Order: sequence, then C-alpha cells, then structure tokens
Amino acid sequence: MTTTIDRRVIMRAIVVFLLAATAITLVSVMLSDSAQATDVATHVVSADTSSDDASTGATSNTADNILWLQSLVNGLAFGTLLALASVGLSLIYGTTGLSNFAHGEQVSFGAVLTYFLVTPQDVSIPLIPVSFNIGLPLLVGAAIGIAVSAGTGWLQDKFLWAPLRRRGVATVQQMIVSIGLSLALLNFIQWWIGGGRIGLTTSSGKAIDFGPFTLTDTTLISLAIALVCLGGVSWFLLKTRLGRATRAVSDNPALASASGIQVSKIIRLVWIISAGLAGLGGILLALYEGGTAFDAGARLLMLMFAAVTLGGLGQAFGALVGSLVIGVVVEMSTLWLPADLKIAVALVVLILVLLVRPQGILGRAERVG
Amino acid sequence: MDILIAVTREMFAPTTAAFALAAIGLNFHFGLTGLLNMGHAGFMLLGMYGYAITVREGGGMWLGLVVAVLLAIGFALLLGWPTLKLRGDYLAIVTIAAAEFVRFLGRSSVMKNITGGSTGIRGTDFKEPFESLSPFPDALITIGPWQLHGSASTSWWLVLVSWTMVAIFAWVFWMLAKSPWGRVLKGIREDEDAVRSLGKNVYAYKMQALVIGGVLGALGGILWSFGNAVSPDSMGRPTTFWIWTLLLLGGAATVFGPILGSVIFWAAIVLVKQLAALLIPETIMSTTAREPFALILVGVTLMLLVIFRPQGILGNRRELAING
Amino acid sequence: MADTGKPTPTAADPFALVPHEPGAPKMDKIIVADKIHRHFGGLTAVDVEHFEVQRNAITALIGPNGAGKSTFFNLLTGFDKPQTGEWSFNGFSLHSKSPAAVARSGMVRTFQLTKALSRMTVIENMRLGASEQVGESLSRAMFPGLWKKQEKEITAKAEELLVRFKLDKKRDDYAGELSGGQRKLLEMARALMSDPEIVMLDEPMAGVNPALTESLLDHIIELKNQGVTVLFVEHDMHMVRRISDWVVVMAEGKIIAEGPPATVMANKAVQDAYLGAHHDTDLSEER
Repeated sequence: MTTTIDRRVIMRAIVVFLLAATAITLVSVMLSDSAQATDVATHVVSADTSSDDASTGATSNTADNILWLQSLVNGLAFGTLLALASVGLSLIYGTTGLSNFAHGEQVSFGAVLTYFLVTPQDVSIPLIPVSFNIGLPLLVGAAIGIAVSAGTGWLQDKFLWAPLRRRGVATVQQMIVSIGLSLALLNFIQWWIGGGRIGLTTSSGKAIDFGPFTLTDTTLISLAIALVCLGGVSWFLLKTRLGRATRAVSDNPALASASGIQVSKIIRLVWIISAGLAGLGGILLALYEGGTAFDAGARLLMLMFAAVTLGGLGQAFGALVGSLVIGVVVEMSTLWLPADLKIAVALVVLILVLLVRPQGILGRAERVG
Repeated sequence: MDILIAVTREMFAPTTAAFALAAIGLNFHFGLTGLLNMGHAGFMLLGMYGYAITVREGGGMWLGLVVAVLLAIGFALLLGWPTLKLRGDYLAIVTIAAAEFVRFLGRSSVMKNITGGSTGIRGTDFKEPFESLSPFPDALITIGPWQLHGSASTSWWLVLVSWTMVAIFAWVFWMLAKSPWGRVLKGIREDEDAVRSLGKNVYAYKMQALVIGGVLGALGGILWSFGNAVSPDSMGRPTTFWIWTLLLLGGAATVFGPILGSVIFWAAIVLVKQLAALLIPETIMSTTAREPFALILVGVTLMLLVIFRPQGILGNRRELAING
Repeated sequence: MADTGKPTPTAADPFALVPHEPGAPKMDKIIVADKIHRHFGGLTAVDVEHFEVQRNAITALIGPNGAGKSTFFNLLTGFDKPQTGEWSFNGFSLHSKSPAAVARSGMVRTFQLTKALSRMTVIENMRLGASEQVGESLSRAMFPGLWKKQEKEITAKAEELLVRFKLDKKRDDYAGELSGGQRKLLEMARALMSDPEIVMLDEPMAGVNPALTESLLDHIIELKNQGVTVLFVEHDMHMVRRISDWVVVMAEGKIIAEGPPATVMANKAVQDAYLGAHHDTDLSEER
C-alpha cells in the first residue's frame, strides 16, 4: 500500500492524462464535421454546463474567463466531489473484493433523502397514501441524510454482505447480488420521488469571480466540505491504528486476520464510511449541479468505476487521483465535444487506460500460481 | 381471465424470444466461459443500429444482417482485446462502460442524422423488408384466445421467425457445449491458469466465446427492434441486468435455461403489473409506480436467486453446489 | 524400491561427474537458464545466474520460505515474466513464450494450490489434458463426426491413467468432491495426458493427507522410470531425501547450493539459510 503519493505516481497520472487528451482530440477531429453541421450540438455545450451559471452570463466579468481554465477548474471541482463517492467504492473493493454496483444508488439515496427532508413541497413514502411536509433546514436535512446513509452501510453489511461472506459466496456472485440490489434500489427511489429532476435548494448560488474563472459560493463551500472529508479519510487511513488496520486488510486479508486484526469489524467500518461518503457526495453533487434525480447515482457509477479502475482497483488514494483525472477529462472534453458525450469520453479513457496500464495508476501487477 | 391471456401471450411474444436469444448469447459468455459481460444490451443495440440503418439507407435486409453481425464481432474483438488477459471484473467494468458508450454515442445530438439521436429510429424506416416476407395475411389473426397481427410489428410472422431462431441457436449451443471446444470453455470458467498449464490458448477461446455470444446478442436486438423500434434508452444497463436475471433464473450453462428464464421472467412481469393494477388501489400505488414496483421485484429476485439458488431452475444442484 | 533410498540404480549415475556447486553443468541437460532476474517493486524475488536440469532424473528445488522457488517456477513455465534472462527447454528458447506454448512444447506443470477444475467431472478433467484435439477448434466442434474417434482414444487413455492413479472409481464424480490428496493425484494424472517430457510439480505434498504421501511418492518415481523428467518444489525435507536424485537449494532468490540430497543437507550454507528463516515456515502455506 502506498503511504504517500510519490513522484512516479504523478508522472503516471500525467501520462494517462496526456493520453486521454490525445484520444479526445482524435475523436473530436473525427466528429468535428458533424458537430459543426448541427448548430444544436454547439448550443448544448453552453446549455448543459448547468453547474457554472456564472459562465452563461450572471456577472459582467464572464468575458474575462479563459474557457479552458474554467473547464479545468470545473473539472477539478467535479473530480473532488466524485472522489467522495469513488473512494468508498474503492475501499469496499479493497477490503472485500466486491465491485459494488449498488454504490451509485447509495449516492442517489443521500441526495434524495436530503431532498425528502428539506423540500418545502409535500412528499410521501411509497405504499403510504399520506403526503406531508417536512421542510427542515438544508444543513439539518443533509446531516440526517449523511447519518442515515452511513446507517444503510451498516445495515447492508450486517444483514446482507457479512452473511454472504460467511457462507463463502464467491465475489462474482456477490457482484451479481449487488446488481440486483442496485436494480431494486434504483426503482424504489424512482417510485419514491418520481422520475423528474429535483433541487435541494431554490437558489443556484452567488457567482464569485476569480479573474480567469468563476465559481459559485455553493460550489466553493461544497468543495471545502469535500476536501475536509477527504483529508479526514486520508488522515484516518494513514495515521490512525484503525486506518492502518484497514489498509492491512486491503493488502492481505489472511495475513491481517492472522496478525490479530478483526477483519469483519474493519469491513463493517469500511461499509459505514463508504456509504456515508457516498451520501455526502450525492448531496454535494446535487448542490453543485443544481439538482438531482433518481438515477443521478446510476449515471455516476460509470465515472466512479472509471476513476477507481484508473487509480488501481482497491487503492483508496488511487481512486482520489483517478477521480480528479476523470473529472478534468470529462469537463475539458466539453471544449471540443457536445456535452451529451461527456460520460462517453470518460468511458473511452477508462478503456484506453486498461490497454496501457491495466493495474491502474497506483495498482501493482499480481503474482500467479 | 384477461390476465391469463395477457400473461400467456407474453410467454410466446417475440420480445420474449428476443431476450431468450440474447440470453443464449450471454450463456456462451457466462454459463460456459465464466465471462462477466455486463454490457450485453450494448451488443443488442449495436445489432439493431447496424440492421436498421443499413435497411433505411436502402441496403436491404441481408446486408443489414451482415452489417449487424460484423458490428457485433468488431465490438467483441475491441472489448476483448484489452480485457480478456486481465482479471474477470475488468471485463465486467469495460463491457458495461462500452455498452453505455454505444448508447451515449447513439443518442448524442452529434449522431442525430445517423442514429436518430435519443428518439432512435422509427419502425417504418426499417421493418418493411422483413414484414414483406411474411406468408401471413396483412390483417389481425386470432389463434385460440390470442389475437396478433399477421405480418406487422409484433406479429405471428415475427413470433414464428424469432422462436425458430431461438430453437436453432439453442441447438447450436447444445452441440458446442458438449464438444471438446465447450469443454475447454468450461475449464476456463473453473480456472483459466489450469487450462493454460495444459497448453490451451485461453485468450483465443475466450475471444471466440465473446464473439459468438455478442453476435447472438446483436441478433436478439434485431428481433427485439422488429417488435418495437430502435430506441437507445431501452437498451441501457437495466436491460443487461434483466438478461442476467432471466439467465440465472432459468439456469446458467443449461440449454433450455435462457428460454425458460425468459418465458417466466416476462410472464411474471406482466402478471405482477396486472395483479398490482387489480388488487392495489390507485391511492396506494399509482399507475406510474407499477413499473418500478415490478422492477424492484426483479432486482430482489436476482439477489435471492444468486444467494439461494445459483443454479437456477434447470441447473444441476450438485454441479453448482461445489464451492471452489 | 522406495526403501533403498537411492532410486534407479540401473543406469550409471548421470551425476557422478557433476560438481556439487551452484549452477553446475549437467551431462544431458533438458532445461538451461541464464541470468534470470525478477523483482517486484524494489524486492528481488529471483536472481539466478545459471541453472541446468538433468534429463530423466528427479530434481528437487528446495529453500526456505520466500526464497523465490515458486516465482522461479512461474518464470520457467511462462506464468510470470522476468525482467531479464534467457532460458531454454530442449534447446528451444522459452523466452516470452506464453504458458500455453510452454505446455505444448512438452513442459507441463502443476500448482501449489491444486487447480482441479471443481465443477467438471474427473474424466472431463482428464480429457481436457490431452493435447492436439481436433474437436477443440471451433470450426470443427459442431461436427461430432470429426472428433468422435479421437475422443474415444483420449477417453481410453484417460481411463488407463485413472486406474494407475487409483482414481477410476471416481471417474464420474465432480473434481470438487475429491479430497485434497486425490485432487493432487488428479492434477498429476491430467498433466500426463499430453505425454510431457518434463513435469514440474509445485509442492506436490502440500495439504496431502499422510496416508496418500507414499503413493504420491511412488507415482513420482514411476514417472522417472517411464522416461519423464521431474522437477519439483518442496518443503518437506524427508520427501526430498527419499526420491530426489539431485537437489538445488535457493535462498533469497539465488541458488546457494547443489548436489545429491545427503551432501546438500550437510552443507553449512543450506543449514544457515534454513535456520535463519525458519521461524515463519508455516505462514505462507496459504496465501
């Protein structure tokens, strides 16, 4: 396990990054004819970057913004928020070997639950024909949302994953179970809050001008929270006894268990942390993007997997680096490509990375036999 | 009574056959070889795009089929190339990513002139050559309690063709699975290093399985589009997961598993929706909630199946009871 | 013959003139390896200057835990790639050959953690071991007429081997239902289906019930009598002494001694290597 992100890693990240940029340029050259032909396409670019209301003319200074720098900043911001979700995915993979396909719904759940608690509109729960109004303040609602999310992590591990592990169910089977769970949760959430787009707040935030780029105050606060949390997780993993134990489990469960670490407790903890982080990520992303929907997490899942694979499956810090790379790639791609291809670009990057460095940026090759 | 007719009609509907065919493809991947293809809907979508676009541009039905098959082969080769040498979950992630990529690209505004963007391609643009081959009259025909059109869209003609194809490929699966070739695939499913140590080129075998299964997925996609239309958003991740559910339901690695699974799956969905409409009052479950409700049950079924009966309905208990 | 301690006294001892030193040249070499170097990150796993294996003899590769024996095995059989090095089998270079190509050239291995194919029957496991099967090609698999005859021959051969390894009663059981020792036997029998020139056994005794040990040993000696070369990795010194003609000792990735069993065990460097690293012996049995 890597304790520090050393220079080699950064070099690799840069290589991957350049590679991705080249790929995108190639694709954009291939598609440029059709992109120019349809006015719609270029229109979408500016319309869909819903996050930066600022760049569409909220302030008079927007003309000073350097487009690529704005995209880079947006990408770093998005990547940081994405990291909240993908670090958990990576921790779960590292400690249990499970590629958790229900992690996307975990993200949606945090955001949707918060919406449920804070919206001034009437809400209801499936199968209960009463609608009521909760309307808590955003901070309180978000805090409850995160706590309940973390609680679902505990609940899941206690009643689903831990029994499966005890029965010796193979990780492939567990992965398919997580797919079933994802399908059930996704539809449950849709049933719960409907198929439309919902917003956690009515305001879209005040734009703050930094000269070459602009960010809203909501985004800044979200970023600050995300950075504090990611810092907290890093501190936990690197400096605390439990964190070191977690990394030991990630490295070699059998050995960790032999040296007296209670693996099942560590895994329980990882589930709680991961679900909580995912919930938080969901809420912050909903604020950043000015809204959420029942399938917000499901859309994000591919980006999370891309980030986690990019960083090396199971490497928590890899997921962090991977998320930033993916965030930047996704946002920068809108400079050349229509915004509805954002995610497609990330997927191409994922496939390219697997070609060049399958074990990811921070991963190691494995021994056979 | 109406429910019974609706349910039984769903059992032999062309959609059911289309999914059965796609599931036979997935059975080559997962059942025989143990490949975790989580992007099967991508193969289906690619198949229907290939066919529909070729036909719309005047290429004719047979050329359309060839294009669809070639696309599926190319897609499989492209996916397999980087991933088949890696651990299994990489293939899962890459296939799901690639399938979503196809869908995002297909529905993107850039491709609107070719793929029709998010609205897809209307049936009238590509169904004609197939429907004109129909020997049945161009009118509604009632057989027993079921009424379908003779030739257009979800028709008796389509029922006949799609189930014939399912039968043919189930036979092909049976022949291949019991051959030495199938034996190598099963060995790979169990432990690819062991098979490697016996001198078999594991990579090539996995690639062959991936290609065959992918082509069947594409053919299933074409059949599906005959009964519906080409719509990228119907071929998202959930579709792949349905195919997995019905394959595991029927029994992976068995000949009739995909068929039985598809029949039960689709009949059950119709049954749940109809029963919900009948028994649960509108105030508790609105009409729009019935679809998600049925799909929640699908998700839960998938979980329960994998946990409690991984061999499905037809699988060999003894064979699958052994853990590693 | 097991009680003589020195198997096959028939032919003149091919090791009579071989010096007892690391990298010693052999009379009739089947494997030759040079400057094999493999490191993981900063950790050197294997660093072998020169290594030769005598044809039609039983050579043991021993050493304390973490000595790099298994990694060296993986390198020789193509399951891992060294950073540098050149090695050949029967004069045929195996550098950058795939594991499958290595196996097809006549060098078949088994694994420390047995890789019996659990959800296939014993006889199917055996059939899979046969090489050059017509029906294994996709284009011909659909036509049973093309491969039915060969399948019969393979089955006959498999059944013969099963009798020899006393697994004939388990013919139609799933391999996953066999005991650990029976799986080892099955894996060895399966390796013989392709008539290899050399079998490489990775800890054939690990996890085998003592009652089966004797018969396993006899099978290995029997292999040699049939003209097959055996190279095996082992922990159990008792077994090494019993059956091997020649012993190669590795420690910290290097070959530190070679010689007949008795000489090697008396070697000071070998004893030091073992004692120095003995405290963690049992940990690595299961990775």
